[in-house]
Amino acid sequence: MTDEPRSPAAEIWRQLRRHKPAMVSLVVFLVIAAACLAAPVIAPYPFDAINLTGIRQAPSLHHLMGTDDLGRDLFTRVLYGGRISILIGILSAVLGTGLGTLVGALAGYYGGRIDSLLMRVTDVAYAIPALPLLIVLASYTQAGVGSMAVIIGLLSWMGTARVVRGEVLSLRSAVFVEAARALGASSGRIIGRHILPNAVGPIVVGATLAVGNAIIVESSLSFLGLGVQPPIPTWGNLLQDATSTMATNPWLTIFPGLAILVVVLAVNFLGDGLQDALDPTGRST
Amino acid sequence: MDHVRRTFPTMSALVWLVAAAACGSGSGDAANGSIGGRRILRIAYLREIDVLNPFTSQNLVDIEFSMMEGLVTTDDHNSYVPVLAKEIPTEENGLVTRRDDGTVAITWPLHSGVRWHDGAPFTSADVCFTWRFVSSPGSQTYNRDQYLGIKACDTPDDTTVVFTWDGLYGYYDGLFEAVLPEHVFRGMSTDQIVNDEGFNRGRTTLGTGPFRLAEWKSGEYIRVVRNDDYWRGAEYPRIDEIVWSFIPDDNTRLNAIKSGGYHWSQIQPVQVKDVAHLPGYHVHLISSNSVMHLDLNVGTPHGRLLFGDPAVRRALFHAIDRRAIADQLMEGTVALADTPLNPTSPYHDESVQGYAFDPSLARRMLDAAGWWPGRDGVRTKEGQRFSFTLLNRAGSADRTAVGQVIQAQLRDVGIEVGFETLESAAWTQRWRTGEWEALVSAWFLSADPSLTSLYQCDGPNNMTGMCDPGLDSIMEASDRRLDFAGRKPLLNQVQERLHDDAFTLPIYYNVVPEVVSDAVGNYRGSGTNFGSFWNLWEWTLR
Amino acid sequence: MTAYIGRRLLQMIPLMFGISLVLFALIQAAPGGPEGALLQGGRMVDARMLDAYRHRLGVDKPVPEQYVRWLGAALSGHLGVSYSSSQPVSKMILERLPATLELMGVSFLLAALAAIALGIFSAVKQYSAFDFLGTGFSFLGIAMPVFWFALILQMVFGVWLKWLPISGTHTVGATSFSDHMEHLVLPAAVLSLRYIAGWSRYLRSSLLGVLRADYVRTARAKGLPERVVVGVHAVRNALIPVVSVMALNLADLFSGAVITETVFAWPGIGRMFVQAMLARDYPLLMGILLLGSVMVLIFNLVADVVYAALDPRIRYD
Repeated sequence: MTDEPRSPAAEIWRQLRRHKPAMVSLVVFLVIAAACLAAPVIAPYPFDAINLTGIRQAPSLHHLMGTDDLGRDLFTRVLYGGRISILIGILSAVLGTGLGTLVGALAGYYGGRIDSLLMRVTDVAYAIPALPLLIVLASYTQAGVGSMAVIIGLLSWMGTARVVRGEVLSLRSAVFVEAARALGASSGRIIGRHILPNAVGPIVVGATLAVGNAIIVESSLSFLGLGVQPPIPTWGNLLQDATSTMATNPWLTIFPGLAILVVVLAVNFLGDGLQDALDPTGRST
Repeated sequence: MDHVRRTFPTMSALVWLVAAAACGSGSGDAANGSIGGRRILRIAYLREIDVLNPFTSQNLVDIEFSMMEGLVTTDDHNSYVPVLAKEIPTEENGLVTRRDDGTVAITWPLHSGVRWHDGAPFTSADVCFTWRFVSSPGSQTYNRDQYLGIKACDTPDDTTVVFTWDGLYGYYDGLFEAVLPEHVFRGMSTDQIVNDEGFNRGRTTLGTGPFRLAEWKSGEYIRVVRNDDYWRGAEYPRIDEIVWSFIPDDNTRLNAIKSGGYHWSQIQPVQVKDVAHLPGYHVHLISSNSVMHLDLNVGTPHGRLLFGDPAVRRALFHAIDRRAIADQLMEGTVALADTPLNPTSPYHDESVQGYAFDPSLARRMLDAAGWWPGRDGVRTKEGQRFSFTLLNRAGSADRTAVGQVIQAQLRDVGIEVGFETLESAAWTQRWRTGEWEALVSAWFLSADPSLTSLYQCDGPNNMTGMCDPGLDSIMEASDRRLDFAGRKPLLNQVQERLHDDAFTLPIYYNVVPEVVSDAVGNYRGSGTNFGSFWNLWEWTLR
Repeated sequence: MTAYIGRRLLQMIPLMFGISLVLFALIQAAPGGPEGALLQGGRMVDARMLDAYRHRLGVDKPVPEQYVRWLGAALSGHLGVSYSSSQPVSKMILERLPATLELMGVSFLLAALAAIALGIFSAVKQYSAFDFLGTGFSFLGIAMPVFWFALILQMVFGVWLKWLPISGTHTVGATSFSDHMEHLVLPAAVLSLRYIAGWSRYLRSSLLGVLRADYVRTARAKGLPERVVVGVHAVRNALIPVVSVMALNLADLFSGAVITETVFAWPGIGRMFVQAMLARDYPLLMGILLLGSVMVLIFNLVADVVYAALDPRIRYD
């Protein structure tokens, strides 16, 4: 620790770089995400090219991951499915974390009645079991990408709100906040510029894990028939649709299943590394 | 430290799965065969049922028929066969007679010596009681309106029932698939019977059937035991117990039967090849009265605009490769459907040939109808693009797959099909209100061939807005014929006309693959809405 | 402490009212209605009958009126009558609750044992190969879609090895304790695996902090064996925050049970919930969701109480 002082972000990055699993995970995640993003360019077939004369073919040079129940190239489907799954993961994480941060910051900063009102709302939302509520909400709309992200996001802000509120409570009477207030900074500016940057650690960790969680939740909803629906592919519905033939055509479940597994693992290792990088007690000796 | 190092990895890595191994003592096949010398038939069943009263249950009922019997049931040839009735009344055997006032007397002779499970005698009064219950307004019986033509029920003696019908009605022989015990419900109102927990959930449930209810564990199973006092004779039934385990997940059910723990199960068509060579089992592909079809809705303004012209509808149907759907998508497990009536029914019209797959013909027909390909490849007419939405029900994999094939094939002839997927209850609501353009769906028809309620103008189950008064009069005439010779040609006309009208495209008859252990004898799978347990009384188990 | 618990329980009452109002509105507003259940399996039903059915159930009335009626039923204790089975909801739930509680309880214990073992070893051997392997293994539980994992276990242990039964709670007609335990293994394994990772990671970082604390250094300096230092002094203190997290997660186990019960045909309320939702059985849905909410609130309270009981620095009054 002889280096000169750095910005918090740079310090986190320095710590994170030493966490090998996290760095490997970051690379894996970025590679997969980039491949999915580039699906229209690198996918060997159109994602909805049905070929009934070649259904459920085993992996081959023509079809790296085989073909699905409508004869579509599974590799292509997995790439396109990844776009949707990762998009849902990121959107819902941003939404949930953003909402949670907002609620937590307002409650923590203003305190008093605003605090108790917001925290009661949080309590109510927290007290309703998440998956059953998701099942109720998922029946509302045509199961699309946006609605899925919104529903999952709306159900995952409470944890963040509580954590952020705690951080803000402990920071709002800190010296540098008092100083900013004395200089006449607005409440919004104080929260945005002075308090939240110092609470960014748990927010970032929470958001990271939320991405993985959302991907899993979407797959669970697919299992119940309430996820994003075909013909839009997601890793969740690719996996669910293939389970009925998982003994005879195992590759159809293995590839989308592995995609979920690898990405969620990567996200969790990354979150773990961030945690270690941010948590002074967890630092390596 | 050494101690720590040795203990913890073992614990943490294994604590969780070792539990599995430690308990693993080969219970998988213990389930099969007999326990304590009793022959127990084990069935992996696809749903939990709601109530045991077959007239108020919202499910397709078949478990109930092990305990309860009716005047008739349906066999494996889509025909009604007598059960508690000695024979089915017809005009030929003199049990159906026309009276001068236009009413029709239908006489059902009943078996004598039949007793309910509690020992009370079964009599004609029970049949009349069942009629009064079912036809009363609050009975919520799914086909209540079919009983409404009966104006009176008389019991000249304990083994004879005479119904007075207000006219000739072809369905008369398909009613009363169960009979309720009057002495159990005596003094109760319709509403009390509907809500009677004792009968609904098993405490006072009884019938005349080969098995008596033993227990119903909520969410888990229903167990019935042999009725030693069964009226067909002391040698029946030949099985001591039957257990229906409720396993709603398709894959779990497949794994359950593959593990060897069950004698009978229903699986998905795509799973057939998985168990085709399962030792000790055979897969029976039961062609059912459920026909997968595409409906076009002319009940909305946009629907009329697109589908109003019969030539356009026919063009659409020519663009859909039904054979590829049946043979390739469904891997040949299903039979191509040309009419709504399954070939297992004697009323099926073989002369009706479905629309042949001919995309170039489809294109020419669309051209002729004024729909010309636009810049984006989608046909347009007077500024209107030929684009519609297929309403899809979430969670039904087969319909979704068929829908996607239709989407792709219609795109080839310049028609754009979008997908809207709704969760099943929401789907039902939309379907009922008619606010949709097209959908892939399936009805489960009874063995009676009447199609009137589906395709009649404003028929109770006609949601497509189709209306062909000429068709209606033939269908109504067919409902008034009781004799096969008279009814058959009318229903042939109905099937031909439905084909020409082209509001609905039959695609294939759903198949119900049933996996049955070789230890089971006398199984005769049936594809009607009464299911395959219609002859449980004669099943055997090695 | 008693007064504290009493106050918390009292606070739950208005909260439950709020929750019930929100839930009732959410459920009623979902498209589709209970009449859809009549069409299950493609059965032909006179569509006009569906309206009669709605009327009989009273779901054609204004939602506030229905809420008041439901509230009356709820306060009288039986929680209304299920649309699909005509039974009191309270009775249906009580029939199914033991199976869910058993599955949750066993899974909780299994996960706690594995997580504590894994957490301690990962902390003691931080950054060792085992630390990474153990972490990776436990992360599998988070990263595997539950239903896929469940089906794989069914295939391996039920179909191929034939070691374990695939579904249900016991072999009908051959009830014994060991038979029941065999049926419990796969669902409990699936449900527990998801929690091992979080808890063991939490214990690991908590223990790492404790191991650097002064009193542990003192114990080491006194020459106590490492086993005693870790096992007696450090672990006990490190467990305090972990146990409260575990108690909080108990509520989450209830959510997890929905999928697990559905896959393994386990006759609990999670599976009943899925069926009730498809059938829009409003009273049953309300009953299950409220029960779930009460469980969450109670487990939260348990978490706080346990925390206070374990940590002498915290006192509620």
